[in-house]
Amino acid sequence: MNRLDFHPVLVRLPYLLGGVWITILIAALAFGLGLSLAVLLVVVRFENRGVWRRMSRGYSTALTNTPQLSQIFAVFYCLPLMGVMVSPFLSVVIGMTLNAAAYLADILGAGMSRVPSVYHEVALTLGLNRRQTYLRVILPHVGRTMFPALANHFQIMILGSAMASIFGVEDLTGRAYDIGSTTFRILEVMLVTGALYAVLSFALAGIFMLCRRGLERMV
Amino acid sequence: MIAFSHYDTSLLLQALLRTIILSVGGGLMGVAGAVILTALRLSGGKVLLPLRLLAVAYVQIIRRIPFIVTLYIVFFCTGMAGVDVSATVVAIGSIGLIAAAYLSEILHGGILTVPVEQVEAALTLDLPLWARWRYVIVPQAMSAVLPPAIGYLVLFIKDTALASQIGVVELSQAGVILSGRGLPSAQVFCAVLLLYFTISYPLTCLSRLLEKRIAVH
Repeated sequence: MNRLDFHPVLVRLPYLLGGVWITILIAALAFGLGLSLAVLLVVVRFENRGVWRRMSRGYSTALTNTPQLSQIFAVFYCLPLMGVMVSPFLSVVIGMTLNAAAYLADILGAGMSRVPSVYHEVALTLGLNRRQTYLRVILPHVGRTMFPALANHFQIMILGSAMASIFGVEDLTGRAYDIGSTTFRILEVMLVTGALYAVLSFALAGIFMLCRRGLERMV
Repeated sequence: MIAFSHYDTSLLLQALLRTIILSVGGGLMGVAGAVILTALRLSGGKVLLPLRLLAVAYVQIIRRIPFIVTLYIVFFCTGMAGVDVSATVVAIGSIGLIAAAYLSEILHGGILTVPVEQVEAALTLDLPLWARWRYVIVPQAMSAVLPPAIGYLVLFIKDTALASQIGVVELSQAGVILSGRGLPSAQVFCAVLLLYFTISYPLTCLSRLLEKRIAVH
């Protein structure tokens, strides 16, 4: 059995750490875009009683029951066929956005159904129109009550963004794989990478806890 | 619409079978691992303290590492240790490792929902250990455990897609292969996504159904 040798990995640690930012960038971009799409989906779900509502529900069902990797593959292989040339980075962000929108719409939907009906009535009494009601009353409230679930999904997306490496994006896992193939110390580099993800995740959990306390103080 | 040839269809079906084997194998390993982890976490006494801490640390850390990294670690670990196993076994083992952590969280949480008075009453009735678990704790905990546990099985089915990265020809890899053969990508990936959907969706429905049933009680 070979002995573990971490030296070649530690020498390249700055390069590896640079991948952390790309990982965060992918997750944050896809989360932000996915959340915007999710807001649209969920408003349709609550405002429309016909075919649009069913389509919004169907979207979530379809995308939460198939693997994100296959969805990114579909985007990666099918967009060029439609004449849209995008970089691997963008394909991954698009694929993750579509996936995130499905989950986030379900989370927001759960929050919306728990908004007391008094909120709607009060907004109506104050003379707010539909748009103002959603933007100023309902969605901020849902954002606050559903913050833990949303934060949890962001953590899941940080882990999910590791799939970007499969498409040649230099995120944390992608860079780890690079180092592994140049130094032949792939096990060592993956152990370090796993530890980095764990540290990142604990750090984010801490930040989210502070945010949550801040939100609770606001109310 | 270009029809798939016999070879394309058989590749797709074999890949589907491989995906099912990975999911079922990983899920079963996960259940076994979760029971052991939870037993350790609930155990008392000073002798087992190091093991208890280890179980808690394992559950906390493994859930914070991307599955693909876990998969690589297990894959290259077995390689370095000179253990000669197939990529499928490595994939099943890796899914088992993460499934054990997630399911242990659910199991542990579910057992804690059983009111303490119930256990105390069982102790007062002088029920032996196995009867306490068999007739008092497990039936009550199951209602809190089963719906999310089945929901997580869907997650593990989706995670099997990553096994393609260590050379297992499962459903998503079959899609890439067929696309490489020159079949229209849109149709290939539609077929792949549809097959995943047909195995995941019934489980999602089952999970939701159980949740509703329990809510009625």
